[in-house]
Amino acid sequence: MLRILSLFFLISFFSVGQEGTLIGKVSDESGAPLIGASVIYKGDITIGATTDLEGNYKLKLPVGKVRLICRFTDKITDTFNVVIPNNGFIEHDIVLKSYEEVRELEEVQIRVGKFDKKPEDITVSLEVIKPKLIEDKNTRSVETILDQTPGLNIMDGEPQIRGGSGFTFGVGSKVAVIVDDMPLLSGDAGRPEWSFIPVENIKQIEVVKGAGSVLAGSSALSGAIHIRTKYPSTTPKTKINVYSGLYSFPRDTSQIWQDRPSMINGMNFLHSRKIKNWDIVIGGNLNYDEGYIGPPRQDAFIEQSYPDTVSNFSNEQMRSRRARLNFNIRHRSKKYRGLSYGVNGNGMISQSPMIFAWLNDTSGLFQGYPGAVFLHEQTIANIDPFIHFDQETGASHKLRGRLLYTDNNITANQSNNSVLYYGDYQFKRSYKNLADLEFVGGISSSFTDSYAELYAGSGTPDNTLLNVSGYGQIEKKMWEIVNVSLGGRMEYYALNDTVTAIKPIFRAGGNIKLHQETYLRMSYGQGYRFPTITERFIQTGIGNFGVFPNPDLQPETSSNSEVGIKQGVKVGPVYGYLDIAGFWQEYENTIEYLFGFWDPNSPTGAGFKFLNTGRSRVLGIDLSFSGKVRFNKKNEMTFITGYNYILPKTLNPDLIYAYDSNPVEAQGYSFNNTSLNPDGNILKYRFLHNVKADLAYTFDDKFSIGATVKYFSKMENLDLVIEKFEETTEIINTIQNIQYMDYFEENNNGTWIIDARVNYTLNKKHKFALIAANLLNNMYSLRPLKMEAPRSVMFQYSLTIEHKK
Amino acid sequence: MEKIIIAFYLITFALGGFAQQQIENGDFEAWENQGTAEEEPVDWSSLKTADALASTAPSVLSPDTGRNGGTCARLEVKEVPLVGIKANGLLTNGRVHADFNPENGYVFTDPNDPQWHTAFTSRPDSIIGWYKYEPQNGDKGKIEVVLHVSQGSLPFNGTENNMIGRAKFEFTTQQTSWTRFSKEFNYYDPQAPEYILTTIASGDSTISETGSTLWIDDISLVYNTSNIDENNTELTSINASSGELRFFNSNGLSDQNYTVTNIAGQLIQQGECKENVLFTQPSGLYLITITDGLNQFTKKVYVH
Repeated sequence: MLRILSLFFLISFFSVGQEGTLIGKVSDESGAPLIGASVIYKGDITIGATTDLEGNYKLKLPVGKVRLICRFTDKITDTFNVVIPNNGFIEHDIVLKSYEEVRELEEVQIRVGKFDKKPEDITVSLEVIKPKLIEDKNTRSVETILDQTPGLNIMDGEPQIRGGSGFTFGVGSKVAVIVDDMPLLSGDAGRPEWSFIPVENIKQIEVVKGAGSVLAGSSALSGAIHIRTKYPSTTPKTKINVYSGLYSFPRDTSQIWQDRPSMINGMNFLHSRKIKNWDIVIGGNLNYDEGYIGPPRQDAFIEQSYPDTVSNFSNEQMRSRRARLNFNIRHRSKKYRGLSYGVNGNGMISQSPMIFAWLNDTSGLFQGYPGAVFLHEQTIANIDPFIHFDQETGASHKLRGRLLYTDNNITANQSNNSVLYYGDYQFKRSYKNLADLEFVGGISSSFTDSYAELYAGSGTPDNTLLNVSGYGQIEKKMWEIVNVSLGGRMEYYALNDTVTAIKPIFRAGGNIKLHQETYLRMSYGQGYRFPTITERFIQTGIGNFGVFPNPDLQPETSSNSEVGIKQGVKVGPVYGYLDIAGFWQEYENTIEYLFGFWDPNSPTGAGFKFLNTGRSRVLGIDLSFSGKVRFNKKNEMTFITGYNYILPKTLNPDLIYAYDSNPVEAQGYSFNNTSLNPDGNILKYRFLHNVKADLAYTFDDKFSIGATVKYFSKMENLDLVIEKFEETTEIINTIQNIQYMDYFEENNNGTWIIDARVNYTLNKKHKFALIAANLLNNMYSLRPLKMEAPRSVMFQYSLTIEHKK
Repeated sequence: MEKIIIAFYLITFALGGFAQQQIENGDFEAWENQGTAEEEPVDWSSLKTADALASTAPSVLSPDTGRNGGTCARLEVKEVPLVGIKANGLLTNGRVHADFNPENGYVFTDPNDPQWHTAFTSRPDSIIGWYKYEPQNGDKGKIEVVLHVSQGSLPFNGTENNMIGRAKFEFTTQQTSWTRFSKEFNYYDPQAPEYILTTIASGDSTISETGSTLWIDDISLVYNTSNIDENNTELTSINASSGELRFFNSNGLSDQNYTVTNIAGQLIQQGECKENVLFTQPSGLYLITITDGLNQFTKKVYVH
């Protein structure tokens, strides 16, 4: 009773305070509203507001003269005074100018896990890729730009954060890929659909390293990639980007397989505008890429007896073609302030080769291996309806849906088809009467309906996977210098109505401001990944080997702990943030793809299968230093540098995690006997040292030159079976020789790769660029049996038309 | 007094109703599909033309330099490292059925397809031939010939009752130079066979050792026959006893030579056929081949 009374008095105390209301609009120099700008009362920084979709803010403040600040991404923070009348309104509009004069350290506004945050409030390790860099590098598919993020490697399309995963041909990604807060992994295989992401309309990419958010879904075992698309500003904008280029011949001329260099041509476009209360964005991309890997070439000796009927492709058939069209349509309600709704959509048709292995390690590094190349025709489309409602109370409701249709028509009977339905309701509110406790929570569900003979390992080609999740996360800022967040998520899975699982996961994080521009952060997060339909049920035979189902595959789990410190640095003209993080990741039931004699009653007997391989641990450090060097108003250099060291080890090297069905003697499989180099217990397919850096120098706002440097240290360990493949194919003269070990032993010494670019901005309309990837034309391989691209040089012309009102 | 001399004439069958057929391409001089994975001696088959797993089977057969400078068949046991399964060096005049489990593998006569069977109606006395052998870890190879009717298989897999006769010779010791072997047939049924199924292996069935290599050449069937009108050598009779060999031919012994080999195929003695030839070998079974340059006739003689 006493507590109730106390609470009553407390409420009364707050309610009798004298206050008034400040309203206004925040816009840029052109008059465009700035959405999400912060207006903060300096007398008590816990009192603040964020501008809505029209740039409006509303703030209750104590009566009298108050001092406020307004800040926004890449804009000069404005400080101003107003006098608040008792129980009255006062209006104050703010125009924020561009960032050029600012001397205060700022990063772009970051929204991690669906929060709007300042970087000093972030409790996880995060890398941000800005749209300028995406454009400057003529990014045609988003994974190519992601690959330069420190601690994130893309191994033949498969994302690998801090060594948290090996290589499984992209199936069952341990990294969540989230576009506009909704997952974009194929429903059946859990594979990122990189080329489907509308790269011409990206507002920002955020890479969260480690299982750092319950909002990203529990399957983000080692991290999440958040991609956010743009909505239009008040100025209508049309942008057309045309590019043309070619791949160089490989440096080793004995590897040249074609008559002329392969070409790359394409264009993308974007038109965005507001029409009254409508926000409309239309974009698209056409891409033609002749590729740098030639078709398989069968040994004449083998061809006489066993002609290749699987991959006997011409140069023409190996070319990639893609057409994509996407749109975002949003309507902001006039009748109901804060209500907006709309639909986003994207559709793509494409054809491309899927290349699993090179021809040989002598003169066939850039050609395919017979039977290991497939042609892939894909039709993929999504339609995303949504409703957002931001109440004046500060509460925010978001209801989003996605229908993702994927039809993969692949040669050699590898076709598959799936529809993914996704729905998410999210509620977010800041509770002032709970000392500004911020809550975000919701419920989301996805249902995948897959049809593929390829997945008939379940007994039927028709498989379904249901996932229902409930999640909640609270954040609390205390004493102005401490930010704490706690979250939980409950996952429920039902596979074909026969296999069900329920699992809670938790996370916690904190950030302490130790000193001016010095932030210490801590984070702990759990992950839980239910095996995909592909991993459990794939059943096929390709050439001489099979792929076998494993219906008993268990979910894999992870935990990620890390401590990091971010330090602002200002030395002369150099401004930046130095970030150091140490992390500790633990994985259980890790799912890997292993070769064995799994079914002697099948036509192929031996082949690959997804297996749980036990426990592992990845320790490491992340170092990054990013910022700018401002020489004067028109000349500056931006830099993003990072170094990542990991120590990925198995915790049970001798554990026999599976026995096969070898008819002579069942073979037990362990880390030790499946590893090429089990010494040190280092996990397979990991680079222990990784350096990524990007430098861009701008002269007089017209010219800019930039370079990206990437370093991958040697691969310590890989599957022993690759060596056995080589030995076996030497003995069996009707299987074309698989040759890798000589290349591996000679070239596994670490790789430096340099990209470079030159941009010239003629005026606001016209921009030209010359972009080279792999400038030194290094011949290198990141995953066994696959070469990365030789040098490519691209010319790019961009036309930007801003339709002034 | 002197030991009793027993003139041991081999049992002479009434062979007039049976032809004297030979093993086809027993000298392995003719090869087909040369330069391809399916290169094999004509009328012979190995793993690369098996009815299953042919594309993933190692090539255990290859041509090599023969005994007389021509070609012979070389068979080697090979292991597939990827799965740790060994493939025996097999050659047959039937067909190979390969299986992931070597215990389920066999060679067989396919009566319905002339490509995979060898019709045969004779009743030979012995199988002879020449070989070299490099066994690994005590491995042993073999040549096994089954004369049968209807279905035939090695291992028998239930076809034992179809067997008319059988000869089996095992290669057990290393032979770095060409060595002759011979083995008589045992007959289990008086009727004429329909097929001959021959298996030559460089290793011991399912326990073969990787690397065991067998070279084989000039295999042929030997007949004891009474067809005296056609072959003067067959008129020569042999009396053998401990101490001497006696050759007799009412038409004379001019231009006739003999060779004596033991049951392991090793040449013991050779020379011109005479009425009395010194023979000092211990008692046992010997093969005596008489040739006049045109004809050849072999007799099996037991010397007491």
